[in-house]
Amino acid sequence: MEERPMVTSLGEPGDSASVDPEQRLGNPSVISRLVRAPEFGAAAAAILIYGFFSITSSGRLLTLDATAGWLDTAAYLGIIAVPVGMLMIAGEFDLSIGSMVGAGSISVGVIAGALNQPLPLAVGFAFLFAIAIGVCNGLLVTRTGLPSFIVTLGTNLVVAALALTLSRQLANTTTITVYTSGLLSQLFSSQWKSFGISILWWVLILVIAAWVLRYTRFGNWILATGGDAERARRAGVMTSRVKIILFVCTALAATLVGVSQAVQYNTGDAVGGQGYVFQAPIVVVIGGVLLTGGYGTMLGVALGTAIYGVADAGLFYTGWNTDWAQGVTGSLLILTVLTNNTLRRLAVSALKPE
Amino acid sequence: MDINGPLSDPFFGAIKLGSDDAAKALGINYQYVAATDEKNVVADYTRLLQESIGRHPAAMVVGDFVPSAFDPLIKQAVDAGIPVVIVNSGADSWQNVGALTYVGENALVTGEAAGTFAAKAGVHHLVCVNHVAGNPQLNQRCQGAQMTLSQAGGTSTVLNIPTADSGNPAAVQQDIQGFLTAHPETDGVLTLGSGIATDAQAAIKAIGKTGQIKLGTTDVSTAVLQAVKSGDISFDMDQQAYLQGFLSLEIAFQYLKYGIYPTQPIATSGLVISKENVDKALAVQQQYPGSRGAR
Repeated sequence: MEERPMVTSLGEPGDSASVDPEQRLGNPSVISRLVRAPEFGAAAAAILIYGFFSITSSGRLLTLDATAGWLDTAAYLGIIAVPVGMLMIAGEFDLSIGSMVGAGSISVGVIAGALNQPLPLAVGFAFLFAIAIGVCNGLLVTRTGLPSFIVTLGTNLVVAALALTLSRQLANTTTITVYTSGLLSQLFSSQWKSFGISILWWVLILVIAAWVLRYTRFGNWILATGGDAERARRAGVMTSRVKIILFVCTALAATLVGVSQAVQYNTGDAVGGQGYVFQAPIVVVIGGVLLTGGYGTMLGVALGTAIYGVADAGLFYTGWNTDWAQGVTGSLLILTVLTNNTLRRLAVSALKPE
Repeated sequence: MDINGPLSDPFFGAIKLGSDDAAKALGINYQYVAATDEKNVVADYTRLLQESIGRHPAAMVVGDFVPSAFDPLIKQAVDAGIPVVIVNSGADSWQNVGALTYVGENALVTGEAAGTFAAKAGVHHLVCVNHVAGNPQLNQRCQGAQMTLSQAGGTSTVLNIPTADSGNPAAVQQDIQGFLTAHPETDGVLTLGSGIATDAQAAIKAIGKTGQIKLGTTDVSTAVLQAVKSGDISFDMDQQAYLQGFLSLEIAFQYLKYGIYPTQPIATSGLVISKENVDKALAVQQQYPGSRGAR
């Protein structure tokens, strides 16, 4: 019934993680290989969407400023989407990222803004907090066996309440103006023309994640954990450890976004970031990662993020009524994933001997 | 009993600060009740109202955010013998529900004042950025601004920010930037919240039109005040949240004790902060953080 490749081989680093049905069938055509690639649908959609909005915006989307603009939004989303994608490949969700963005942001606001302490202290605190919440999420999921969807939905609310309560106790407000300076501040808010440094962060995180997933033993473990956790565990994969590490990564990434936005926009906001709770899984799924786990690539996630960035911003450059902006994104999600699945099924069935 | 806006919004933080100070000064006990977020106002607040009526407090101070849903419940409170002061929202509805009086913003008037100020600043094509589509107060502000600007011969549009973007400064900046690029004739932007104003400021800067596009906003924050001082924001409509919090509690107290109350609504909105008076506002905000909006 299910045509997705099962990923259970546990070889040395560098081994192909998936046992490709094509390999057993001899020489597959280039086209079917291409179409079956998890990022094919996303790549096709990216080209279509970019072309569509380039034309309908009369080329305004192609200008340097506009490119910097949509890349900037995509970068913040992408920083979170990369580890969320890894976690979803390992078969888990993290909905607490929304509150972690707010927590990171308000840490900078309260510590560096209201309490006038140095920025490194604020950032250090934010990241330590992220590690704690990540470990907490991971332990709760692996020890209790509860669905991560529920656990992280819970921690999302708890962290939101913590950020709200503490900022109101310490600073009497939930939005704090903060001006930062120094090397660390530049690391989060530097710009070249209108291109923000967040784009570099995104690319860096993306490259590391892609490398880990493809060429390391840990990457194999992630795929194995998401493919069939029980079999992976019997084969010696420490699935709990994999999940805990990935939960820490998602929390750290969300915190990085919160901290960066606080520094770049001079505002610590305890309640910002909830939009990412849905946007991150959306772009991961657009990028071809299976909701059930075990399958997906970082190139796909990058493409999914780019699609979202262009679609989200593109409509505003057309000059049309933008009340339907969310509808475009929603339709896009369904269409891309549908195309992805259909193409994959066609390609796989074409390979069958019969 | 004070049923008011979510404290996740720094604007309502300033209201609570005013109420806290009034309670302290008058020596009364009061409880501030609020939902945690503003995405589900109708359901959350009708529930809060019902619970509060059930506890039968000596008096109630209520923000009438969605009159169609809240009014029957507020009437119920009045019928149960609880004196009610409407605060912040409800300029058109406070009399219908039998409240003592109203303290707060007249959103239409705020918008009209903003439109007048924009016209005076030389704006011909205004975009009103609404970051919470469906909020009647924000709609009225946009309407007011559009009305006065069109009387002055200008044109205007409303730009609604998608809900998913509204807590994300990068996305809000990008949305505004895209609109301004697609409508290069736009020479005025009106935002309806202090955070959104900062994002709009970044958008205008990114397309290199600082100074050419006049930016105005409602609601106060330290960042907005500093931008008014530097000239990046031309004007800021302050509805004085602290005053709303303080006065509403004081009115309820004086009614209970002496039976006296203001017979006309008290307007706290319409104060324009511009370069002329920004220094005082900034000084107050620094001395009493949060009293003039988000710090």
